[in-house]
Parts: sequence; structure tokens; C-alpha cells
Amino acid sequence: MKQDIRDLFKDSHIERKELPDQHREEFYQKLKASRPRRQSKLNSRYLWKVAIIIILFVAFTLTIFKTSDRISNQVVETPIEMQFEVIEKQYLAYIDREWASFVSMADDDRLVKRYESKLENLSQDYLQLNQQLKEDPNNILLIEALVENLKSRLSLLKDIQKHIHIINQNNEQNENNF
Amino acid sequence: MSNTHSILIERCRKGDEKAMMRIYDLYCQGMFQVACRYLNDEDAKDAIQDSFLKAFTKLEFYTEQFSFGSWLKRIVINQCIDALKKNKVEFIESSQVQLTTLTDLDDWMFESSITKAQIIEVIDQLPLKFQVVVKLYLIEGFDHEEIASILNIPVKTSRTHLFRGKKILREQLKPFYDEARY
Repeated sequence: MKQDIRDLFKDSHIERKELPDQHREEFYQKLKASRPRRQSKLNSRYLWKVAIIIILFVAFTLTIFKTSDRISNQVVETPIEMQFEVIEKQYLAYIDREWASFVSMADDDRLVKRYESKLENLSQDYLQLNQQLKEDPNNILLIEALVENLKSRLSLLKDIQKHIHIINQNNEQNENNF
Repeated sequence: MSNTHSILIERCRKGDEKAMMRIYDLYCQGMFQVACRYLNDEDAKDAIQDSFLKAFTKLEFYTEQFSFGSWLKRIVINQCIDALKKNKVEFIESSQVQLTTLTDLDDWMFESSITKAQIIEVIDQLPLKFQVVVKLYLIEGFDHEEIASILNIPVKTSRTHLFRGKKILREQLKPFYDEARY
């Protein structure tokens, strides 16, 4: 009797070789090791995106906070004095800057003196108002008066600088004419 | 192929490691049996693990027209052959033997008393270049075109290797015939 041995192998054969015990863990390690490059690239790109979004978000909220502080002091729910302090600080810094610019611009000592005393008067008023505010906090009229005071100091400085600027321009023109 | 299986492969394509481990669990035993025909246990394990990794990176080339198992098996076999080649196994034959007749080529009739286990035992003793071709043909069921492309040899060489392998096989199996006869 003969047989075609190819038929013997047609059905799947049962040879049971067992994989070593740790093969699964080993494969998992290999799998992990084979993939980090692509993953880390993805990750770093992803992290960059997240970082940029966070930075933009923080910047955005900061600017919103700042502008909202400047524009309205009712929106944010901090005590009114604290809000006012922020505004005051900003104004005073602004005034200082304008003052310095004015002093450097003006070459007339008398003019500088006159303005110094004007500002000094306003500053005295301001201190008085501030005193009143301490006795009667949350008085919106007093706060408005304080802001008004700061505003007028600022506009005083701005106006005189504008004025000086115009005069200088005229002088230059006159000089050129000669 | 079942729907869950295709979903699993789709997840592997997207880089889901859990799905990859599921595929590994499903196929590792079967693929290990295949690889053990060509390599020792340790090398076979490495070969199948590398094959899985290769398969996962080449999943975009897999089409459902083949079963995933046979696609994977082809990768495993290629991996095994590569490992053999690294050990300097040459599949190209310098001297071509004259093939007798075509009927000779296709004659696989052996004494029916011979068992599969005996055949496998003798195949394992064959010189490697014949052994691999005989296994690819007889056990894996590849045709000569497929064997030629796997081993990167001419189809003709595949035929001669198979022929010579079979010849040795017959000779080696002779004692078993006789044993059975008495």
C-alpha cells in the first residue's frame, strides 16, 4: 500500500511546542521599545501645542483682566478699595512718567516750578479726599473725585507738553525761515 | 474573518498597543509552531516576535483578501529564512542535477505504513537547503513560485532542491519500510 505523503500534511498537525514562560512580557518590552521614537515625536509635538495654548490662554486672560480693571471696577468681585488701589497705582505711574517727560522737555524753570506747585495742590486735595474715603469707604462719589483728580493731573501734564511741542515746532519753522 | 478581528486589526493600524497584544496572544502559539520547524526554540521565539513587530509596521499593506494568519505566516517564514541565511545557509545550488521526468517530480507516493512523525524526523536530518524547500512545499503547502520568491532563488532551483530532498527522504525512509515489513 502506498500513500501520497502530501495528504498527510494537509490537515493541520498537532505538534505542541510551548513558548518560554516570559515570552509575553518579553514581547511587550520589544513592542514598547519599537515604538518610542514615533511616540515621542508625537508627544513632543503634542506638548508644544498644549504649551502654546496654555501660554495664549494665560496671556489672553491677563490682558482681559487688565483692561477690565481699567475700564470697570464693578465686574471683578474684589473689594472696591483694592480695585481702586490698582487704578491709583497705574495713574500715579503714568503721571510720574509724564512729569519726567515734561521736565526733560521744558527748558523753562519757571514753567516747571509753576506746574510743580499746581500738581502739588492737586496732590494735597487728593490726600484730603483719601482721608475722607477712609472714614467713608464705598462712597462712590469720593472715589470718582479721586479719579477725577488723577485725571486732571494727567491732562495738565499732557496739555502743557502738547503746548511745548507746538511752540518748539513753531520755533523750528521760524529758525528755518531765517 | 470575523468582524471583531477586523476591528482589532484596524485598532492595530492606529497604533493601539492593547490590540497588538491581543493579536500577539491570538497567533503566537501557531506562529511558534511554524517557526520551530526552521529554527531552534530560542531563535524561533525571537523570529516570531520580530515578525509580529514587522507585521504591525506593515499593516497598511495587509488586505483582507488573505486571512491574517496566512499573511502573518508568510512574514514569519521570511523571518526564519533570513535567520537561516544569517547562519550562512546557501540556497543556491552551483551544480544543477538533471531532472529525470516530470512524473518523477510529482511522485510523492510512499509506503503507507510510514507515519508523519517518522517523515518529519527524517526531514529534520536533511541538508538545510533541501530541508527548507521540502518543508515549505510539504508542510506549509507553498508552490514553487512562492518558494522561489521566499528563498530568492530561481524556480528551477526550488524544483531541483525538492527533487533531491525527496530522493534522500526516500532513501532514509527505507529502513522504516523494512521494519514494517517484518
